[in-house]
Amino acid sequence: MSRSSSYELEQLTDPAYYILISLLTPRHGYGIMKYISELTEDEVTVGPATLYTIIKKLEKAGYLTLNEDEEERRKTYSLTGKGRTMIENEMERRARMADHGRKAIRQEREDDSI
Amino acid sequence: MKNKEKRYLPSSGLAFAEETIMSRLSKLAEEGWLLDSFAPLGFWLKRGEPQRLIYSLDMRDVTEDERRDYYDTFWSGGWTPVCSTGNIHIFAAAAGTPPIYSDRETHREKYIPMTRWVGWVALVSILLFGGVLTSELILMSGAEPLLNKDSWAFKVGLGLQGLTLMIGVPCLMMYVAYRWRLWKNR
Repeated sequence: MSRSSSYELEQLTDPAYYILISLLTPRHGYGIMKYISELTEDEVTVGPATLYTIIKKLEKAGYLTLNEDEEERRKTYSLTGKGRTMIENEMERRARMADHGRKAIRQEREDDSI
Repeated sequence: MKNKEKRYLPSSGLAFAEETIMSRLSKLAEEGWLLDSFAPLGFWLKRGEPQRLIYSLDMRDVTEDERRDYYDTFWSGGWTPVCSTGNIHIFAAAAGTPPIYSDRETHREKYIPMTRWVGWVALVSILLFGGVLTSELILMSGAEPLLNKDSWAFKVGLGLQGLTLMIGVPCLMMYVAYRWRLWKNR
């Protein structure tokens, strides 16, 4: 799979998914990394180079925008409408994937018990 | 000079030995030699407090406008920008800091623009070398050659061949090294 195709297919990679959900509230780079660690209780951490790479791609794809923060003199990122729709679709897609897994396990158990 | 404050560290080429160079820099930091800046074919180190540091390299085109934001992101992850040259940036952090790339895909992508760039330069240099060589051979052949070894055009051609080889061969080696990296990380 080529490197940009996951966005063209309207699917997010795991770190891109976490970065987008962390932007339900506008945050700057530090805020994003901290929030993801807190939200996932350190199960997921995103390194700065990975974060920067993905942010640039998500910005290009129109899922987030950069805002100048006058008070903090730091740039914050926020979701666009397109980004929000993407998160909702992606959450449902990932939930369906988990359901498929559970269903497959259930079927396997039923097959075994016959 | 025993008490010198600056020291030159030759580089064996970041394309070929990035990890080895980064861990060499860590070892030297433990001895109190801290990376200061890029130098021709190497690095400048400066005397400082011995400390346990890890170094990481990122490759990215960053405009002046984006630079602050780019560095800020690394500061946030516990990484200090040390030096940058062109699209190569080196960061330092306390030992134990999580790595700058947390996933394989983005880490792999780091090498793609550089691979393309050195690939193109190598290709153009080799084509130019081949073109000059072929023209010379054609012009020097036959009973009445249009070019002889004493003519200035031949010397210019020879110079051009030398130049294209000097640029093309290292670029080709770098291209192979980066391709190998991409293949390893696929």
